[in-house]
Amino acid sequence: MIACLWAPSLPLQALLRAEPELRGQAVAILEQGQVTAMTFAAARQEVRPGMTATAALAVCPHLTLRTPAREIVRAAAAALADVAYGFSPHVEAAEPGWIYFDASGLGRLHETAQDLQKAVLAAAQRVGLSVRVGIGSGKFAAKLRARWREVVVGVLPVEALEPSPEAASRLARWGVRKVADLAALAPPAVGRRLGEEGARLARRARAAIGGQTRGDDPLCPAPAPLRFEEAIELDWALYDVESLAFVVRGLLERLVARLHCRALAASALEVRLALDPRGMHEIQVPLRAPTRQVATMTTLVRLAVAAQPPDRGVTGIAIVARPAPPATDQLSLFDPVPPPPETLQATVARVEAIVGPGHVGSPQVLDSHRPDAQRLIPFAPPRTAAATAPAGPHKVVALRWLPPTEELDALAKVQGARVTAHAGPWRLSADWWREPFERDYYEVRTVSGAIYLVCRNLERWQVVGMFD
Amino acid sequence: MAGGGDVRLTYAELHCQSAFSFRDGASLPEDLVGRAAELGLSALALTDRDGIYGAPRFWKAARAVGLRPLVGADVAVPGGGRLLLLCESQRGYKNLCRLLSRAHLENPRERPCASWDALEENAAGLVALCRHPALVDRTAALWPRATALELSRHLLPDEERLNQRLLARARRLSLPVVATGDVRYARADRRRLYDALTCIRHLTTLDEAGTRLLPNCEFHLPSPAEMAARFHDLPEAIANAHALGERCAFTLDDLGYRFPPYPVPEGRTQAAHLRQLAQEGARRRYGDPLPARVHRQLEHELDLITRLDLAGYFLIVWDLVEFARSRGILVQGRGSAANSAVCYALGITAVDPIGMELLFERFLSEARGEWPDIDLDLPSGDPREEVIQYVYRRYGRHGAAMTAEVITYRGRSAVRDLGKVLGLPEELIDRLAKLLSPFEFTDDADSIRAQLSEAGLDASAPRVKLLLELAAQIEGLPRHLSQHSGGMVVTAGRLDEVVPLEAAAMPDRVVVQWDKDDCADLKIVKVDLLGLGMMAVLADCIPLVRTHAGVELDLATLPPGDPAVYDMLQRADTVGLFQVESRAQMSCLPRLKPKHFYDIVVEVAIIRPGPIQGHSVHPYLNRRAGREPITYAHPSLEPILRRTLGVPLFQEQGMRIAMEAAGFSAAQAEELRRAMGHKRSRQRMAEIQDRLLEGMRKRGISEPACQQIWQQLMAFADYGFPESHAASFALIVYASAYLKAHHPAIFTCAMLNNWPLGFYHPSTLIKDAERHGVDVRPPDVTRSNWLCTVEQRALRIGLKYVGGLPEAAGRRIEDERARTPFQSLEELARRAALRRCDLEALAEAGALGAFDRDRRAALWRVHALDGAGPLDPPPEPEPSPLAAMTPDETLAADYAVLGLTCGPHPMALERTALARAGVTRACDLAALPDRASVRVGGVAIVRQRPGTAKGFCFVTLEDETGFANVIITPKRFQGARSTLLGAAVLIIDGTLQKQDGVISVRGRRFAPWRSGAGPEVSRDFR
Repeated sequence: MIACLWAPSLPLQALLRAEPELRGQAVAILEQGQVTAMTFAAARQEVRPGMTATAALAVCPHLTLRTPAREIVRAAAAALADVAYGFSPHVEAAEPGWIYFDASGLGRLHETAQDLQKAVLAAAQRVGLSVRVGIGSGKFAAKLRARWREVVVGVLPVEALEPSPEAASRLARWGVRKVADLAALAPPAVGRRLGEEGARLARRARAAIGGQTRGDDPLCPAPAPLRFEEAIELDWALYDVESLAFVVRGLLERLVARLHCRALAASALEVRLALDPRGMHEIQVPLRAPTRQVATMTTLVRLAVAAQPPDRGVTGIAIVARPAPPATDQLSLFDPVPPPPETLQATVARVEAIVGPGHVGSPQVLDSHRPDAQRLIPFAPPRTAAATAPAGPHKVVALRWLPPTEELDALAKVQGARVTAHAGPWRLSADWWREPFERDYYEVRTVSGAIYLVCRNLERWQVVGMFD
Repeated sequence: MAGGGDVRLTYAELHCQSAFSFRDGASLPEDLVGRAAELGLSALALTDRDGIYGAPRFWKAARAVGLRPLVGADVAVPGGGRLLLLCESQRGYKNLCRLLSRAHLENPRERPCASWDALEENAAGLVALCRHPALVDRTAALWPRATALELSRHLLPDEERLNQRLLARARRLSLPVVATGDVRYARADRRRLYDALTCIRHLTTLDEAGTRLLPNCEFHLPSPAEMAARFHDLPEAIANAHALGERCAFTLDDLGYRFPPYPVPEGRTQAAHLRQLAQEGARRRYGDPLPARVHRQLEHELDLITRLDLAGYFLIVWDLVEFARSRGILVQGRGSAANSAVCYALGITAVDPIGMELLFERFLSEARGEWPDIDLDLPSGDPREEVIQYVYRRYGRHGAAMTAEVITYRGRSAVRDLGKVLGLPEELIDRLAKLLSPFEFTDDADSIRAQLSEAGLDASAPRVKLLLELAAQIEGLPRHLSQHSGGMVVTAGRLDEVVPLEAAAMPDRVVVQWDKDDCADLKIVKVDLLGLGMMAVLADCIPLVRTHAGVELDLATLPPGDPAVYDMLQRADTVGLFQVESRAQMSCLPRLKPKHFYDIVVEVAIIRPGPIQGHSVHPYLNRRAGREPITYAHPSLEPILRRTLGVPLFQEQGMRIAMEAAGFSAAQAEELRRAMGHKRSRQRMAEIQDRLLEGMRKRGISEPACQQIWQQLMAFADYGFPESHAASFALIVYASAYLKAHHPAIFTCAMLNNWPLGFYHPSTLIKDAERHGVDVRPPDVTRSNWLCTVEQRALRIGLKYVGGLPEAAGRRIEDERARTPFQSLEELARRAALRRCDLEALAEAGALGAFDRDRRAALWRVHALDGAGPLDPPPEPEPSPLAAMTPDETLAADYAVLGLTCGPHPMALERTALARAGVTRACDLAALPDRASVRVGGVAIVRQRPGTAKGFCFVTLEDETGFANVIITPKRFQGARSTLLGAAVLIIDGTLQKQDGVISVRGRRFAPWRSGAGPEVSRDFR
């Protein structure tokens, strides 16, 4: 007995699963410039597969057109597999949106096929998916039931027999459109023209018409994957931790639902933040003990992000949970009840947020005309390669960067400096398309012989650095 | 050079890159000149990278404002450095051109580099400015007395360090230093665009470009005062710049260009030879002895040609025409050359300018001081290429080249490139680019903001705002250089000493760095060898008519005044005809009712933006129909406008009006004409307005009449059509109409073989031919050639229309069948070495009907061939179990494979349903009364929104009986935009309009027709 789970329009379902607020709205999936799936609300307004974006927007001006990120579709497919693994260890993931599992022996838990179907549907709903379930003696029979429910097989289109594109094209050219049409052709004659596949399709058509599933493909189960990842791409960049935490919560809820299906919990989290416009910021969030507490995990992630904030806006978030069996702590009869490990960890993380561990790292000079363009990257031990001598005869002059509050007047007052010579202005203007930067720099020599780099910004003079 | 010391506020900018440095300059030469004049520079050198692409425009603009335009280039040298070379003399200019030509021709495209050998050989007459310390020694050795070191100051520390190194070298080697602005744009506000162009050049985004962008916005054209301040410590650098500007005296005023001499018999001059040829030709054309009027005109023209020393030019064009004729290639001169009796006598043109009273001065005038313009129309494709290669052979690879065409940034290309620069998502850029209106006319709803909103974009978003700002700035800037379709320039001696040459994308083609307007401005003779699809059609028709009708057709001597031709034109039965097949022409023809050849000339010229916007069309048609009296703004205009019933339609009339009514000289009239034809002519026209009005007033023309005449002339500013050009085109119109009227199968056959051309898809051409009684037969491997053929009076579709069948396979079928007819499908497959997909395409197209009547049965057999090896016996005939195709399926297969059908029209198959829906056939519209409510339906074959139609949309629906023309108001168009643009088959409710025999429907309601198996996409030209 094989059960087949089919999640129709998986990319659309993946999108709605990732962004539940879109449910009930007119939403369509746009792939390669064409609409490939749409919600009922969109279909009601005449949005159809194959339409271009312009055409779809013309008939439904408020349509939300989206191309879901690969990550969220992958996560939805993984969630579908998790549902199946919740029922059987023998699961085969076929093409996206289709899963088969061995349903033999489940009669003790679910008395009838309908009971099993209901249980599977409920499990799928918990992970945010809407599926169709078919149960049959073989994979193909289960698939036909999932796909077409209870219809007369003969009137089904030949596509139900899953011909390859080439075979489908030839059958269409022959005018063979229904399973019954193909069943009327002799398998050897079809085989001579379409090869082995043609003969198989013809046999399958005859078998389907006859109500049998001889020659069905065997189930090819794969070991249960232990990677749990949920991701989302954001429409616009997020810059504050609270907004991020809101999104993170949704991701964690979906992760926990999947872990729950598999009777697992999370022992660690890896948070990957996609930055605007490019780049990735990764944060490891260790968990003291395996947990399924969404609230605690959300807090920990929030604190971790606050401690190691990204330097730009966040345009996407992915969270990977390391699975482990749920913790089963044995409490002592006499000792006071300790706080749960996840609560303790949250408290520690809050403290770290105050002292700012994220301030530790290595500066990286950016490719920019801004002299102060740099960022902090996680510290990494220096490479052990042999130091190379500076090339060429040029003298290296080091510039000591001074705190930005040092004003020229203050310097003159405190050090009694008087400018004896200067060079400049050196005019820099950059980043006019994001944060415009315009400065005039001067190199000044004081009576003491020290050379400073000073800059003028809106009539305000400032000492920027000192040359060694 | 000046030794320095005296600081004066005179400065010549010697290093300035324009947008013709292709993505390394953000201002057009004209803008740089304008700014330089404002700043009071003593001279300006345009030194684009590896070329002098913008030099003619720069020279022209500078001449207009009295600025001295210096010629130079920033040339790449081996090792990654660059040298700035300025022309000191004509010798230097020639050397620079040769140097640049070698830099381009000896290196891969897009990576020009002048070798040191080339620099050494072409150093004379050039001044070198060097700013790379590594190149100083070598440069100084090559130009011992013409090397200077270039110092630029843009307030950058690294640059100043380089300057100090260069100064040290200059002192050591006793070389002068010269200050330059190293200019990349005219004004500082162009810096943003320059940065965007830099990103395009480096294929990166602004966010990623980093230090590849320039550090500040100081690379604009500096004022003398600004330069004096920047170089306050080096006044000699400024003085040297000025002195060098004075020293580099060469400008494009004298390129040293000479037109190649034509070899004439010994003892005879070119002028005498031309005179003899012209007189011989004239006697053939007009009879012997020559009528006095002809003789007078010929003598007048020949005298002028001799005085202007242009005999050689006419002989060379004549030589090209003779070559074409000797190869049986149809050729006809067009444009203003048709105004010349000499051209007519030499056989260059086919219009009798004396008989048609054409104005010779439009073609050639002493005062104009420019070369005449002779364009030759040739059949497109191989014949034209043959003539081009003849020019190369005759004048050598260094003596002839194609003119360039500068491709500029326009809507979509601008949005695509800038969208990437701003890092917008690909999908968004795609949506935006595709949304840009495909029509000529754009209204408020089509504005970029509306389009953005339609694409779901917020026009106020910062990046989108930037995109709009940059797109507006980049519009019209050169993007890359392409090859002009037919313009060729020739020279005596070496063309690469006149203008730099570079390799074109096409093999064996060399292209000059200037476009045809630049060549004309610099008096470089060009001949346009234009490919005209209809000429190819006419050329194809001649042998077909000879074979199938037994008639020797000569286009020069077609029977004039053929009633069938004029009847056809009056009925607007003009699908496929040259120039008069458009929707607008069709609606005009029944009202104009052409009866004579000159009416066709008018018809060709009247449906143009000039007459339409000048409100000349309705007055002319009303006067022609007798609904309006024929009047003239002034009696002096009567001789000029009599033939066009008092309404000016042609450019020549504009010139003559100016000469007669305002007393303009021929040169002034020519100036007016150029203003009328120029893109920015409104401003130039306004400049002439005062002079013209004053002249008219002096001649006693009343003020209202003056204004009326002026308004009519102003209308030409958009596009006035020359009468001679219209006459040349009218000849081709007449020829194509004659062929369609008398040999419709042959004409359609030639049209199909030369498609794409004209307005209509082959399916429309075929259905039109069927309505003219042509039996159109489907492709058949036992009868069809690769091209369409004529069988008796029927037309056989060629195998070239079988989609997916390669030409080689089609030709093999043709060749093998010519040896022995095919007896079976298997034999066909074997002998013609056809692949399975070829056979499938043939089966589905019905081309295997000789072996299996039904297409599916043929397909069943084709697929059975798959498993058989070459030594296997042929498979046993096996009856096909497949159901035969229904008519709908056959039609769908026809459109899918052939793109056309020889069976019933798609609408014929739907007729019962259409009739039930109350749809009137196109042929029945004529019987309905004016203003009747009608419902029409058909395949949308034309959808247009012309720029002159104020937002109205015109749709033509085709059914099995003909065409229904629908007019849609702008408001209704906006309301039904997606239906009108998206549906292949439309049902339209509206009101019938009948005026002067023109039938149209004013559309009210629009719906798609969803049924049947017709074409899946519309075939119109949006």
